[in-house]
Amino acid sequence: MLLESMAMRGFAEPGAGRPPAEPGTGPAGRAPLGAAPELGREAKLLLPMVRAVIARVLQVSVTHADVDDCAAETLRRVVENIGRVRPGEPVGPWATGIARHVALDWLRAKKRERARSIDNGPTSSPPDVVDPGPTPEDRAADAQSLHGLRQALATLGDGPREALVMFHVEGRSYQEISARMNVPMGTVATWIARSRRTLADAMDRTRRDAR
Amino acid sequence: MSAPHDTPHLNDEDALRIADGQPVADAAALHAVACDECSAKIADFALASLSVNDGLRALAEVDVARQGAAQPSSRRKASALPSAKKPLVIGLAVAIAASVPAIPSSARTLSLLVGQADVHLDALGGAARALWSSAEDPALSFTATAALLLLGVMVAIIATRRANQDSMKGEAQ
Repeated sequence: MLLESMAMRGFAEPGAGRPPAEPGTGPAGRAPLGAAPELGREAKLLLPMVRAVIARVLQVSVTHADVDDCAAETLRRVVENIGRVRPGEPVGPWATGIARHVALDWLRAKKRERARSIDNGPTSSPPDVVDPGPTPEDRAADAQSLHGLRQALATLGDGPREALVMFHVEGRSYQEISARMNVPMGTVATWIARSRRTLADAMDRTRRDAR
Repeated sequence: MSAPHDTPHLNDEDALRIADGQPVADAAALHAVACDECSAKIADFALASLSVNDGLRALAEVDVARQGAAQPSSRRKASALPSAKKPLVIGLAVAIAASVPAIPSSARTLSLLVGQADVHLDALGGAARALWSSAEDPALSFTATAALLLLGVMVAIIATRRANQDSMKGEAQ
């Protein structure tokens, strides 16, 4: 089942199921772009984005060794969980979420490691207990930001709005959107970038107002 | 590390396409994994995409749920509250069919029932008399009985309505 869905999405290639090395412990995590020679075409497409997001979260250079390790772990999770992507959900943002999560986990692990080394003992420092779930204030702010998003969506032109919905809700590629709307791919990219900026700004604004 | 010397920086379109996992030229992909400036641009696009993606998908889910709740069509109602007509008609038909063999002896049964009617009426009258005589204020006693019956009927009606509402809510979710 997993292999079928991976094959459908372009992930399944010989060796894709090979267990990767743990982050920071093995040579697989140290290989740069070629870290995924066994990955499919789509995973290779995701790699530059994954590295960029990780570098941003870790606040290091995109060529840093930690980015290699986190990118290998992210791609392992992407390949393992690709079957869980909901119908119509674009793989790009989904993988972005995984990359951010892996990088944040990495930062927390480093922080714990540093605390342990300072306290000179693994038992002397309790692990960070952070509730990853949203607080009631977050939920209220999210509900407000959805309201702002709906209003901002209504202000977009038909083309940009349709392109954005096709990408994010229907999970269509730029190429498919371009063919369906009969516009050049550059126009699709421009529409998506501009409308996304408008929506992100609106969400930020309403979230800020709600807090 | 800054940009590799042999390739130019990515334009916005290529950075956006990389951020969304769309195909780009190999040179652009190779540049992206080596250039901090372009990598930062890609990260900005990707994180904005993630935030908008979550919002739009949440909005789409809310809309789908609302559409579902706003369609109490006859078909939906029928599934929540199955019509009682069909089973009643079927039950009646079965009862009639089952009583066919007893038709020859029905006259005798009917006469028996009529003959015993005075016994049943006597029993009902006895119960009424007992109720009347047992209470100090018979009128109050009958009123209380009627009120209790009415309360029971109301409870039954409210419970049925609530059960129906719960089942409709469950379907909407």
